Amino acid sequence: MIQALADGILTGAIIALGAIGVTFTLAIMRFANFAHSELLTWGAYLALVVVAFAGPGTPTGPLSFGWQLLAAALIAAILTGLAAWAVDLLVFRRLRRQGAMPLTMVFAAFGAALVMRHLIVLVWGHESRYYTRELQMAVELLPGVRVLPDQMFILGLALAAMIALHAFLAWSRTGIAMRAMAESPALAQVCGVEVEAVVRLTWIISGALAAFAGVFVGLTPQLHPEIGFNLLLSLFAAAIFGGTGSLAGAVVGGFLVGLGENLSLLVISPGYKGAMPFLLLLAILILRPQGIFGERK
Amino acid sequence: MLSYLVFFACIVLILGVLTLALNLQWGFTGLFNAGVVGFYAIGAYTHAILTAAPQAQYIGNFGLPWLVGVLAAMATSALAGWLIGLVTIRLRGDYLAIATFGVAVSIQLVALNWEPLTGGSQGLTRIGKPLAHLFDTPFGFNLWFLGLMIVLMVTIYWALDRVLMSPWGRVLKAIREDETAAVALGKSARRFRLEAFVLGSTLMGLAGALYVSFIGFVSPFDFLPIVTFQVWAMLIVGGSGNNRGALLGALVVWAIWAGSGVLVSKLVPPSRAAQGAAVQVILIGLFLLLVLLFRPRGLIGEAAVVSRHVTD
Amino acid sequence: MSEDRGLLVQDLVAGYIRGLPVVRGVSIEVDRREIVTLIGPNGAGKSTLLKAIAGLIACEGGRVRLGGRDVTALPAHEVVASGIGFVPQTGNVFTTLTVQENLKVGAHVIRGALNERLERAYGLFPPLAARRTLRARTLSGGERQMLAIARALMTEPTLLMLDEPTAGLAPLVVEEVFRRLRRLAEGGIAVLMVEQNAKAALRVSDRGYVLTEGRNRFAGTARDLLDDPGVAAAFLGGGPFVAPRNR
Repeated sequence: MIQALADGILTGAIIALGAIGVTFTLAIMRFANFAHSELLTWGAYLALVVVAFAGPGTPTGPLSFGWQLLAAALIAAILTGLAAWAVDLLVFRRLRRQGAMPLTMVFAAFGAALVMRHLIVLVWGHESRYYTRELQMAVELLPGVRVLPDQMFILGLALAAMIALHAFLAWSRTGIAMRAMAESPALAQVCGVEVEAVVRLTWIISGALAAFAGVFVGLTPQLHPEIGFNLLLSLFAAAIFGGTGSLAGAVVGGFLVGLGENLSLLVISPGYKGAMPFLLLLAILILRPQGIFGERK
Repeated sequence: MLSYLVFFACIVLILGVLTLALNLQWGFTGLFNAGVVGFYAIGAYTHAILTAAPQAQYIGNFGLPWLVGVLAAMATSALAGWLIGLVTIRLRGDYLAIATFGVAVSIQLVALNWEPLTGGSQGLTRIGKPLAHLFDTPFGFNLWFLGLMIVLMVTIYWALDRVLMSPWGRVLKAIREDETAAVALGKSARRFRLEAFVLGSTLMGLAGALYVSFIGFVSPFDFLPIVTFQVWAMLIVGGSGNNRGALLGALVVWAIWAGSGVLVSKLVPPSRAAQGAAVQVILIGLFLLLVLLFRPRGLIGEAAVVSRHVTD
Repeated sequence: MSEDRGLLVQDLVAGYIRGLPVVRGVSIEVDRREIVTLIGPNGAGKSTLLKAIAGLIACEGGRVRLGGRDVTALPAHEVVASGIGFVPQTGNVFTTLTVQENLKVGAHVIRGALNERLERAYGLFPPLAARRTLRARTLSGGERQMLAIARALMTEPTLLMLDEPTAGLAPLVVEEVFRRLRRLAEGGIAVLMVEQNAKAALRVSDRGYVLTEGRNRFAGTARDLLDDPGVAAAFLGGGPFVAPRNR
């Protein structure tokens, strides 16, 4: 049971990173970006490319990798952020300018997701890949709770990223402008906020966080082209659960979804794990559609 | 070649039923159902479980007649449509999409995992086909099935037309076109939408039953989210809000999909099959994105009907 | 009228859907230190005019000049930077942000430190100072309106536009709002407002325009408009329309 809790927290951290991007896209761009999960996959594979050249680095301490993997993740984050922005420029922004309906945006996102996912398949195929072949020994944190050192590190990094983002949103002028736009793009415009600049920043941050999440998934323990898609429902469940446009909401939502998924394994067969986020999503949509931290509009 | 065309035509007609059903839900009612494949699956599995030849390890497989399977499929998908619609119809556009998407994923997971009932990843075989014993060759059966499908399609198309011209249909159109009318009707507007949703789901279940009774077996891998995407593509390419467009879209999109699949398998060596398939999906995805960007009204060019209550 | 220091709108044509203009050739002027009120029936295009000036909707014809500078085709954020502050009718504060954050967003186009401007805002509206760290959601109607106005003033605009600033406010608060607007105008700003509460607004204004069906109908000093029986009857709440003696 406690092991499930630990696993849930670790999965939750990854989901939270991805959900942050989803929640801001929902709030600022006002559409459900079904292609967001593919940014995780791209981030993971872009890091793999860097690792292919530079190697993951000799294992530092109890971890299975060295600083080179982190550098690869950072490079992947920047590239994925730019890629997210590029997809917006090529597809979503054009549709926004045409005044497209929400349906069109979502369908376009599906289409973009298909293309993005299969580009990975084209280059790397379906087989699983690994950043490093180092084997890790699980550490017994508490009686009955075994975690890999990599997982602890990932949790720490994820939390650091969330705290950094929170600080940015709370104290920087641009961060406040982003939160303003998440609440009301129209009023933000009236205040002189340049909408496209905030949109661009949102994509870059979302993409970068998704890339980190993807690398973390790839570390624990492998990459394949479906890693993003498999998390799609979880990401949306977390974002909606927490309330769109809320960083805290996405984080809390992410952890709750992660915990929910892993705890549910105690009672239902693993094959059904993919349905758990959906049930959580349904529950929140029925009981409190604006999410935990959301405002009723 | 001819046998392939007959096969192709049958599939197009089955997908056409799906597209007409989706058009009812989206084009005429403005409901964004991103879980089409879920209702398709429910109909398919209901039919399969009821009509498949009995086998010891399965709970179901009652070996019932084809017609019973089809009617039961429509009933279960209607019920599913009603339950799911009750919960999700009042959600705003993209939330409805996410919710219905999740429904379909969950249904597929049940199909994949509940082995005693659904056969799990192996699926079920020897499913009830209509009058299968009368035909010696697969080609003969397929030809007969094509005839059956044509009759069914004509009937469904005509019936939908009648329904949409009926008082009920006119109220539905009024709700779609005039938001204040919808508001004035209040709760009843929701009831009409629910009824349209259920009717659509019923047709999707019918399509599912027809599909598995054509193929003769059911597998959970036939009901992945890509199917929903394909049906939506058919609707968008053909131009939604228009039943003719829906059917044309079904034909065009399936022709492209199947055609490109054949092309890829001929051009690409078997060792590279996975890559070839990936290229196929990428090209189709790009094609659809281009349609959305440059011809958002679809190939027929009818005005894409905007349901105002769907906008935020 | 020193046109090159205030707002000059000439034959403006604008609407939400291209080809379906709501504003069909309107001309108005607002100079610094004066309050001008736009009145007229619903659907006359008053709010649309403000939004068009603010750059929120595209202008299909005509010109908008501020301080001699042509701002017609500028996007909204550049309009703000050029010196126009806009207080929309609804949704005019960020309820999830604190009072101070609302003000900071208002000054988004201003580079550099905001401390002076913030203190000035709090000086103008003391109740906001007491609540500076509270979410705007917790403010009363009148306080929210004050915040909305303070927010628009953060850029020290040449022109302040308000869309129905007193809608839904208690009568005492309405008076307070108008008093403050008077003081702001005296401080050198040009104030343009749309008001349903036409009589009260005209009493505190210098001049007014009556718009109907997207066009200029009447114009004059506030006093003239208030005294004119035709205008009073039709637009200030009175009997059936009677043709005015002079335009």
